[in-house]
Amino acid sequence: MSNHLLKRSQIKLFESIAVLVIFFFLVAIGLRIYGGYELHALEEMQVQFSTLDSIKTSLLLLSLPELTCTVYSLDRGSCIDLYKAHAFAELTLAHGDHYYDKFRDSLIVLEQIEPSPFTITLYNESGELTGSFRYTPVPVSIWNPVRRYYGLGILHVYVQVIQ
Amino acid sequence: MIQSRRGVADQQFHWIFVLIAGAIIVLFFISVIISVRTNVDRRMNASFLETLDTILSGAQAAEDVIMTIRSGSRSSFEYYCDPQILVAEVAMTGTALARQNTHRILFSHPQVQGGDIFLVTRSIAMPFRIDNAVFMSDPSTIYIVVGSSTDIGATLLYDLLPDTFPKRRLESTDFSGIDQLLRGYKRGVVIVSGNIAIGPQALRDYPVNIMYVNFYNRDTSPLYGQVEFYENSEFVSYEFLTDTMLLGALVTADSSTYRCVLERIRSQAIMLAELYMKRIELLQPHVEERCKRVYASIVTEIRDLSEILARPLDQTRPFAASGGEAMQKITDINREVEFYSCPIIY
Repeated sequence: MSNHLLKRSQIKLFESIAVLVIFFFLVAIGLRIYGGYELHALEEMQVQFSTLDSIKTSLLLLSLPELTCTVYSLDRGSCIDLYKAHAFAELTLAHGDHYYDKFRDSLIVLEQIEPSPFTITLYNESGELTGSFRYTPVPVSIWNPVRRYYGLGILHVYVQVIQ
Repeated sequence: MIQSRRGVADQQFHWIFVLIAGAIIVLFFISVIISVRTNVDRRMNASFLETLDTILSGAQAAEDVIMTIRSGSRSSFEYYCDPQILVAEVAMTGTALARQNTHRILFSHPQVQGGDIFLVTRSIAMPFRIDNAVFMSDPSTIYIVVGSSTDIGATLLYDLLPDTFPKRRLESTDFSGIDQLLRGYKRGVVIVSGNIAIGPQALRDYPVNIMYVNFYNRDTSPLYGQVEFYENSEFVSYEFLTDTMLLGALVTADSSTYRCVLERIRSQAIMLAELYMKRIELLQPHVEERCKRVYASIVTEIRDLSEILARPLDQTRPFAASGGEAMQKITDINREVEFYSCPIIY
């Protein structure tokens, strides 16, 4: 009789332990799913941040006094002065470290489409585009202060994505 | 009898087991909730820091921006500018979260409270535009300008401070009544116009930063002079060359932060001076003779300004007066360039 009682108690104990094991197993599965979701959210956040970085670089370029055109001492939006662009290209070659803080590992090219197409590499610290880069094209007008006309151009901005 | 005792012991063991298992489950859930909350807080803080950085970038791209942003977090911020490498960063207090502020000119007190954050942008021109400077403050900081209503310097200082920043004028020259002005604020920045000779010791028991401003000129543009920060019972003085730089000194209210941001402005100004000289060199072969003559004189002036700006900040009166004069000359020649219908310099 006492053996029977002991067995019943043991069975009850095992039942309780089994319930706990299943419970923690389910909790572990839940946590794993939650962890996966969190990881996915973090990856999405990283993509969002790198996109923002690329937009910020483009925004910075369009307000950079080294490039923007001035007409009667006023800055014009989305406009690049041709002679400033040439001077800036020389400056970034000579003082790359000064501009590295601003543009990091990126490639910035100004392309005039109309009239008389040409390209100027404004900044190049891209290591020939090895690694992952985010590309942002920005339409701009290019002011030629000598011949006094606006050209149509695109600012090609490649910003390295930090993994 | 023995069976009954065993039954009681068995039931007691059962309850103890249930209690221990229950306590473990409760502790487990508490730890899960705490870690989830910490993660959410961390993510919110990181997201806000990134948002702040984006807002700063947007604000910097435009002139005369006035905005208030809500952090959604009570965490305060620390602003630090490294004087050696001239890199500044905004960090969240008590966390490892920080965002380097490598390319913008940001003036902020080293401590900024969470909650609402005031942002204002102003253009820095020397005389060509260097950049748009961003000024950051919070509602718990009050700016108190000491000086009578007839004091032109005090009026200039008061008007220079953005209207969104809490600011008051204190007419009493002995600092009486300052405790009333500080009520409801965590920190005060006391700005004394150079005309008043009051010792900073009178304010040693108040949570304030004290500075004295001396103008070398008041009627002409650009505004230039000297700011003296009273820190650790000593005066540390630096010069300012434009009203934007002066506002920067008032907002930072800290000599080392101001010096660091000032160095960044100087290096940016020197770089731009070089750019404009290169641009003139490239323009020279394509312009008419009358333009070439004016260009030759402006190159000399830009070179002079660049040399003045390169002088060490520790010198007495290193650049403000001579820099101000050089800036005025460049402005005049640029007007002349416009008059002759030549491509303008800046």
